Amino acid sequence: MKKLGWQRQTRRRPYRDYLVGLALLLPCMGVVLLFFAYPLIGVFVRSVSDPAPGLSNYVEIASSRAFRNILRLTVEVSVLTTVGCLILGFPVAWYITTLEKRRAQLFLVLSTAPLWVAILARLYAWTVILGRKGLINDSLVAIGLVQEPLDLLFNTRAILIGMVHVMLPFMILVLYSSMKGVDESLIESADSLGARPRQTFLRIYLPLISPGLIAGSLLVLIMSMGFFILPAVLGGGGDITIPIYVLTQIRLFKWGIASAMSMILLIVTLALFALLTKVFDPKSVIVGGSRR
Amino acid sequence: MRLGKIGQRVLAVSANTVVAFLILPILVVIPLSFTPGTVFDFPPDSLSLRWYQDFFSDERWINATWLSIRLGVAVAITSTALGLLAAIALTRYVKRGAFLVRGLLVAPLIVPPIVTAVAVFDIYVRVGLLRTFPGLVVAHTILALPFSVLLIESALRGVDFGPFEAALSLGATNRRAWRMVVLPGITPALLASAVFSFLISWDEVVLVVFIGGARSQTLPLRMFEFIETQIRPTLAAISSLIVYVIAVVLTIVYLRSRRSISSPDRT
Repeated sequence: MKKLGWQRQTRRRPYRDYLVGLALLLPCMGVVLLFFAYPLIGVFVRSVSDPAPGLSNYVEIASSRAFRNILRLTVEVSVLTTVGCLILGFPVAWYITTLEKRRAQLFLVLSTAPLWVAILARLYAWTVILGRKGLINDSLVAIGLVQEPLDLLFNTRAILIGMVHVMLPFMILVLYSSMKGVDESLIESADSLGARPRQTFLRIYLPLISPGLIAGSLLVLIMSMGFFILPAVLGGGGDITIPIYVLTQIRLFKWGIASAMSMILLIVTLALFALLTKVFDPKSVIVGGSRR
Repeated sequence: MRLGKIGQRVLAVSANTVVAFLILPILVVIPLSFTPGTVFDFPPDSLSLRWYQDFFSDERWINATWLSIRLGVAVAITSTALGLLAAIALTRYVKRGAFLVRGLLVAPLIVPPIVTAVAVFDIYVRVGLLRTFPGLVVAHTILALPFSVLLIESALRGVDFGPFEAALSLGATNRRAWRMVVLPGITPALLASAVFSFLISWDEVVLVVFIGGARSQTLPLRMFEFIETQIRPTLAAISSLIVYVIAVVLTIVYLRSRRSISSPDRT
């Protein structure tokens, strides 16, 4: 019944419908094709043609130790962030599923509230906390634990703390939505058939929520690798991740190498995303599990 | 899966600790924003509104804020309008290739922002859109479109087009049928799309670092450049203002959702 009108219309004037559809899509597609897809192809072309045609940029990236350090730091930070988010996000998501509706709602709002606060306000807060004259150092000096303020800011550890703080809400949302979907009767039947809680958890619960665990991890991994502002603000001079390197090279007008780096980041991201769509419906990730 | 009594207590404590880790760091800017001195001093000896005054009396901050607001509104309108057209096409007209079209429109969500920034910067240099307001609107619209298209498309799919066809066959014009039958069904999605688009633009830094500049300095860009030098806690006042607004909005949303939970017709 619902599709009747639509079907009738297509049967009646398929050619006209095709044109109308095209006209409706034109503004949208025009903007995305002209200012996104086309220049993106341009970035790829530059990566294999600037300064000289060939794969010289990629060879340089693969062979130089400095580049390898950049790649390693990017991967290291992203992986550690993902692990941190898993460890911290798991109990929160689990706890929310055990609450009654009102309190669950409150906890969901609280744990996703940071997402709504401007990212620079959050990062600034961390510079206030970790800085040499910041909250932690002030307290440590005041109670006499240290004489000199510690260098907590502008290093890889500061990036990690900030990264986990920023990514955690996403992880909680994805984990919660998959935990919420677990059929409680399966747990109950395992219990009544005499499984110990540990067995139930490891052999029933964990396998059931593993798509959520994988999806949350991939999502956080993808976003962490491409994150530019956070390492730029909280990291030190030596903490060069791929996005930061890309910006500095663009500012030096070294388009070829910047484009090649962008392409590497893009390819890794797309590969991870392909994995993500295998385990999880991407739409439900984007809407943050609100389908339930 | 529920735990035993002790397990549940451990879970509650760790979950509350983690949520505190999420919320409390953001709130430190509030006491700082009221300190009279330039460094963090807790508890402060006296209170002062100096840094708020610093923000409101500095033309550059006000201009940046105003620019961000105008930009956000422009992006909200553009992205929702374009998204609506595309969503109508995807639900009612385009059948073959819809997958491809959707993929392309959603791509900016997946491509890392820094890569998008390089691409957009490249084309803007060539067409002369660098450091212009329209340039910023277009760039942010690309980022917001995926949300607009997905939100509006899923709302349109939920609309029953039976009454729409009935209205047409009873002599309503196409436009009138759309306005009376379809529009009420997708209004929440349109609003959500506008709000999301505004927020995406409001909080966007990476593209603006590349394509914004002296005369098109948005609030996030100015904050980003200010945070590096970090001489005065004016940022604390700005961050606090942002936190106040978010806190009020979230409280309202939470209270409203609570009411809808407790009402019996919705479960």
